[in-house]
Amino acid sequence: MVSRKFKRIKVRVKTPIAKTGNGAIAGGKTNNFLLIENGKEGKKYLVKGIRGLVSHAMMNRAKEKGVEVCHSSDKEKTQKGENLLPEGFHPRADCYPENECIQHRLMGSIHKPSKIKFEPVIIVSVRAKGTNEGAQKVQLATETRTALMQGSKRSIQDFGDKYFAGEFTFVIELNEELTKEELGYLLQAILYTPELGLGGSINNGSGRLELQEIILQEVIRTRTIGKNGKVVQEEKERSLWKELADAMEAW
Amino acid sequence: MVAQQKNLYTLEGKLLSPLLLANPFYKKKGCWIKIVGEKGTNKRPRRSFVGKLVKGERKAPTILNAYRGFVKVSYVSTSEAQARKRINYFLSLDNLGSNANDGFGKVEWKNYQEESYKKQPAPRKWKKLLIRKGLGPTYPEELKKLLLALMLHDFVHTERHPSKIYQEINIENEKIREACRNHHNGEEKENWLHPLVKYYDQLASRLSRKKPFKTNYRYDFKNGTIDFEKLTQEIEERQNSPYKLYNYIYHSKELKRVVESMEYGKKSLRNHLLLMVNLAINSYYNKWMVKEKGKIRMKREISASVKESEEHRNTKDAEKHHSLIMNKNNYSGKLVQLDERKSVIKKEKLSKKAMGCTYQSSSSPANR
Repeated sequence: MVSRKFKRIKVRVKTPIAKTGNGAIAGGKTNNFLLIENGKEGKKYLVKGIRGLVSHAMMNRAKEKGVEVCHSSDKEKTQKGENLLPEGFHPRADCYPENECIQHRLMGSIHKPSKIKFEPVIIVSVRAKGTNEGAQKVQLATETRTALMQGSKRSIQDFGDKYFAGEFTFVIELNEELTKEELGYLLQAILYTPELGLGGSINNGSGRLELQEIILQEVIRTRTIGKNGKVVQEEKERSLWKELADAMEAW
Repeated sequence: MVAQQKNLYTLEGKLLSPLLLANPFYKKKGCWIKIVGEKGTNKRPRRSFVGKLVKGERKAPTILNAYRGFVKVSYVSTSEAQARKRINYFLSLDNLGSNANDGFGKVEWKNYQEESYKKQPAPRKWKKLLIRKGLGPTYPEELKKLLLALMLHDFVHTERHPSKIYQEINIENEKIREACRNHHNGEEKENWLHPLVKYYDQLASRLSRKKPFKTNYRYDFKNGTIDFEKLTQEIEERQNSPYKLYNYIYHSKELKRVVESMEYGKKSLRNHLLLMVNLAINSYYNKWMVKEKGKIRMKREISASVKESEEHRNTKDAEKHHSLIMNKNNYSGKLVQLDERKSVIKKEKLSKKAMGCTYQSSSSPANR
């Protein structure tokens, strides 16, 4: 039997429409999700960009409070000499190991692993048949768009964006014990995420998030080998409401 | 002393998210980890590319390579305690591979098995393709003609591309000229050289083209210009002797700088030509070709094999396909394999009985 005790944050979110594309596929004209499985049960996709969204929310929150934290990259200038580093930030991992900022402590960099781990959010269409283990059912479709010539209905260019809509849950596992301050910083960033929006086409109305529920849990996960070599996994959860409330006030 | 019975311990799991890896087969903590496409089989896993792809561009080699399917962890040992320790380590893991904190490589462990281990026979060793330093003295006339056609095929204007040295070589032999000019076109039933040139051109390019590298220049003009008129003259002078022409191409510094394909800018024309010639000579000595009424033909109909080979896109498939054709033709020898990485010069004498002559092998042409 193997067991592990850790804490995790479960966030239930609802989105009317989100386009978390993986970039244009070579030769294609549709913005696609990252495909994971294309079986009999239907196509499964991975929702990308959640870690980045929380990271940017953290940065915004820190800037509001006037705390200098790591920027998303260690690059300061482009080849043409344009500045890439906004005010109130330092290049990523510039603070490490002396004067390590709270952002670096949580998110890590190439020099140090992160303290938090984002579980993959796997989505599948509502129409998909079968059990679809580990996947969350959402509405999946493609929006086709056309650019028209001014003053006419003549199409210049047409392209498609894949989107999903509905309720989904993302889970953040804590690899290490966080201090109250760090946990508070993380929770406040999650609360800030609806201000930024998920994925692309945000100015076009997509990516809006409605936070439904945030739970801090203590989990004991055990794996045992049962009859005929079948691996059995069990989880015992305990909600930590008081710790959550204390952390919210700590930062 | 009685040898202890070895056991094979396997732990299988399903990949819930793509596993970022360079190779679907690797070793960790003394256990072999293999990613397979279907549970309980050795089927190849499906690949997906993580990262941003630019529309219309080829997939860059820097893009992250991910696999999806099932994970198989296997460990062979006589000690049960050691095996249990390792299996427990993997059972405690939720993710494998890199970028685990972004959610990649999540595994759901499914099954565990213990069985007695039987050592499997070693796989057949593959012989490396060696580029000859020079041609042998006992080639028949038909093979000489074929080798000339292979060496000259990229120096004439074709429908798909102009001559790769800008200037067309005036080939005296009509059959060779026609075979070279039409090596990107359809069949020419009257010319026996045509299908062979087409086949070896495709085979050589598939074997050598692995990583795409786009270039806009046919050669590195920054390191000095090449006198193509002189080059054309030199090749034209040697067009009647395969020995002289091979020797010239082998030692040519100019052809080494000329690119074979604009899509694969790191592959030189010299290596491409030498590879084609060596593949053809090997097939002749391995009796995959038959001499018949003053011409050479493959034992299997080449036209069918060329059509089939067009369907094979990647190099591995092409290699397999090549071996398949040869195996069907009662091939009893070993398949040659191209290894461009080794730069160590090896000397190997091939048996005189089989070849009729001796060759001095050299290092791979790519590293010259």
